[in-house]
Amino acid sequence: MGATRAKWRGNQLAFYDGTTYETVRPVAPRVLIEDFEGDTLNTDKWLYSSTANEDTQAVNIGDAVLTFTADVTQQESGVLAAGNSLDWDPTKGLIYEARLRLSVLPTLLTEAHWGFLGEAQVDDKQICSAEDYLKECVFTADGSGIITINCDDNVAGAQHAVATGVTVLATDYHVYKIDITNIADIKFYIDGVGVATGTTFTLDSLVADTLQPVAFLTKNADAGLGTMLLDYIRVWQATR
Amino acid sequence: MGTTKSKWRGSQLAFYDSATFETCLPLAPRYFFDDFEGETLNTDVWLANLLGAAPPTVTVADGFAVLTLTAAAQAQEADIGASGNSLDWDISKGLIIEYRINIATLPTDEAEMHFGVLGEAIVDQQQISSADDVAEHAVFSFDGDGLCRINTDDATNETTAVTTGITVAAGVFHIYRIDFTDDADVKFYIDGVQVIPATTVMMDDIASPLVQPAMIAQKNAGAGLGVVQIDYVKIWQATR
Repeated sequence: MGATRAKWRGNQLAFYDGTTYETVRPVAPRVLIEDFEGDTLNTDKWLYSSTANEDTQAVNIGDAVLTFTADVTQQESGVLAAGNSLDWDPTKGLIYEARLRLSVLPTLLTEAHWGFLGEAQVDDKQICSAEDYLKECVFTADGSGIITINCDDNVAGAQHAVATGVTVLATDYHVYKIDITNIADIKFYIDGVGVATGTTFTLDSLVADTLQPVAFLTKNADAGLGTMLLDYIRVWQATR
Repeated sequence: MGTTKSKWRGSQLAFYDSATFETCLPLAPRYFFDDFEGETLNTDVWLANLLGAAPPTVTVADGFAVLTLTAAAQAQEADIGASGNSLDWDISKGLIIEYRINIATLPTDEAEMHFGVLGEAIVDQQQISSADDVAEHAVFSFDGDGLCRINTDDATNETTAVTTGITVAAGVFHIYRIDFTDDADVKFYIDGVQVIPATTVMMDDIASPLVQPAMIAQKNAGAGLGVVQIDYVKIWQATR
């Protein structure tokens, strides 16, 4: 078991698990903690995205379970902010953290993404097989367990499919963190370790925009499976 | 952006934002907060009380609860109280309540706005400013303009419309806190600064110390409008 430790990031105190690097409690003015307890999604705060094409969503045993149940064309399975509401400000010390497991690794054309979108999540929009979203800052698993980063603020210099060097197994949960304390130098962490550290990720042109936390599977056409077990999402902001 | 700092009030540790004086995390035995995320009022914990044609509204969107009175010359209520008007919080046990609020449209004419605690149910057409209808309350009040006043009553001791000297501007959020750590000397703060320090506010003769949080926009009759935007409510108690 881990020991509680304290850290100081962006002049904000936070407590974390010294073993897993899970942020146990950020002491920030604005904090959203969703642990997906119970048997149903809290639709006051969250919205499922789906199509009618053999994709399912459920909340079960503390996880949001997002699944493509069969190899059929055009599927979506996701958790996003209720009403696609863009409530979080990347200029105010924003941090996203999720613990999740890709219990069925994405195959073929299935894309898994988790992090922030700067726009509504829309069916049949992709990040990897097509550049359909204009504003995103996400971890990605595209057709396999290889984790990459996509970060785009809709100006030149977007970073797509930047390698993290991490390949996950279907058996393991990991803690993923996106730290926008500095919008001109966004940091990504997996299990407390900085990844893609040789790349400077920015969302500079989003200074007038806001974001929503998301986690979703998407596929435009053709075959591909995948299941995401989403244990928690935590989002916090250093000022209001 | 602020820096996390700690304070010690009523023998309770709490962390706060040093720039805004928002209490980020009180480490008290009993703590409740609602950031009004999502798109609906959480009716497990809150009750929306509405009266009037047009109608007045209570909405939740973009991280805010919004109480709106319309200009129609009629009795109106747009209130949020505890679900079932439940009196669950004890001012004799070190209660502190904090709101971040923007008076988005300053009240005019007969419109009154109040936020704090009530020792009784919210009832239609009961006023605090234009009439002394509510026997037990401790609230920040706006009565027909942007000047913030304090009203308290424990049915024995009464503080009536004592000016804080602070006139708010529409569109500007302020953090309002009522501190019952000593219920014979209740303290009021706006943005971390104590207001009416020369007035000793006594609530210790109240028949029952149990109260509910209440956010009220109302008018008994006649013209007047106003809009209150509530970012969060936090309540904590030093013992159960």
